[in-house]
Amino acid sequence: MKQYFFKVNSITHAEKGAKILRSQGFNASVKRAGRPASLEGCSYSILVTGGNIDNARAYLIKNNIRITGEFGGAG
Amino acid sequence: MIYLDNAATTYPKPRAVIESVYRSFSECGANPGRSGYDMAMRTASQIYNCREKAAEFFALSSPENVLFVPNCTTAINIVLKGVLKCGDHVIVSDLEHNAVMRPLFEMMKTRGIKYTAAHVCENDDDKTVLNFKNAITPNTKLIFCTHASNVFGLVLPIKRLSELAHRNNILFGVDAAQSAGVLPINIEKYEIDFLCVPGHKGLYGPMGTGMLLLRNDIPLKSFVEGGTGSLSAKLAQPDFLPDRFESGTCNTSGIIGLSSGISFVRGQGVTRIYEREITLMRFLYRELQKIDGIILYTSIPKIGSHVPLISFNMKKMHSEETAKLLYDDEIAVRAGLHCSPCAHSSFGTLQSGTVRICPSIYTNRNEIKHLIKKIGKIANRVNL
Repeated sequence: MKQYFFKVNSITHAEKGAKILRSQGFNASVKRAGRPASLEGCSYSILVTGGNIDNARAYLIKNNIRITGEFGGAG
Repeated sequence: MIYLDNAATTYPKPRAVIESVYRSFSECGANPGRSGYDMAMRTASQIYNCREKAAEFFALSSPENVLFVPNCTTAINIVLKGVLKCGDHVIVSDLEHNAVMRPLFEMMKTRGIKYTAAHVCENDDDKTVLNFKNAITPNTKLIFCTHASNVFGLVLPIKRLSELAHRNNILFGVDAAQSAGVLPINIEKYEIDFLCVPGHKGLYGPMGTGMLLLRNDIPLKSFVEGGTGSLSAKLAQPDFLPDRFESGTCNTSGIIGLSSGISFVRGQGVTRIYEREITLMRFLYRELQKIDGIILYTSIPKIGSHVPLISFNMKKMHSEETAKLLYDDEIAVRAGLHCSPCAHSSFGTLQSGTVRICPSIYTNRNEIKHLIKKIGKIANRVNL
């Protein structure tokens, strides 16, 4: 299954986002951001394994989770 | 020991709270929000769980608007110092704790802010609201008041005060030091912009925990700047919640304990706890009325208008002396001013202070009976 990362501002936003996605049936967990942008420094990501990434993104935005980056192969 | 000083901090703490704090040292011993290995992530998840639980408990839709602080006093300082600028006016009640009055006094000297203390009328919410209304000036930026007096137990009509504030484009904040976990508080329904909460009183968490809950992300200035584990390459403090207000390592064990405390209170039921404790205080009040030489300062505690605590004195005796005599029989109560000189000024007890009795969910009727018996003995001796 393909993995997709939504980078967010903080651990709190990552925890919140992952919980929201799990409640919607996504396989989502919190990971340390593997590729921090040099101008930003530390951050966390929501790892989504499988599922419709467009829908996952829409849920995060709807719940005011500020996405600061995305990477991975769309599932 | 019979512990009746629960308005200062609840004791004992529930076993679940003690065990969760103990476990946190072995299972959640890493710094949350800083690293990516399992224990760090587990710890962060526990902290978020508490945030979520607190948001739900106070009916706040966004868990990130729950800020962890060391105590209720810090939460109050963040609000007052974040909102009030030079020339601003704030309305408080005349029953406020020094957690409110000292920051205001300091800001009066250093920032030129002004405040008015509105008189709270027991059992007359109309008059109380009118007193707040009459204190509004064109410069009033904030109405900030205690939900319930920590000395006399009077409950303020916060829903009506919130409506008054918002009708006049004024922000509204509440010090819930004596009410959180005892009275139901719904931030969204009551439209409380700032709710300041201790973790270690009615929520049964460890001392050193507190929360500030923000209804909206009002652009309050950060209070302490530093490491947050986020946007680390930037020297500017993150502008988003909760990181704007949570610099430095948090009280992980305390917050995990607080999380268990909130679960405990939810399990018991706020209303059930309140009714149980009010019943005990009504029993105490009636028995104290029968003893010669006892001075009571309020009407009998009632659901909705009082929190479960009673202040009293014995004629011809300073409150500190009474507390000392009670402790000779291992009854622990607090005497003096309870850090609320303004409330004592309003009730005329600034010289004597008061003896304060406050139960918790663990207090039983036999303990109150024992207290009454002891007070009766002291009174007999004094009245001879």
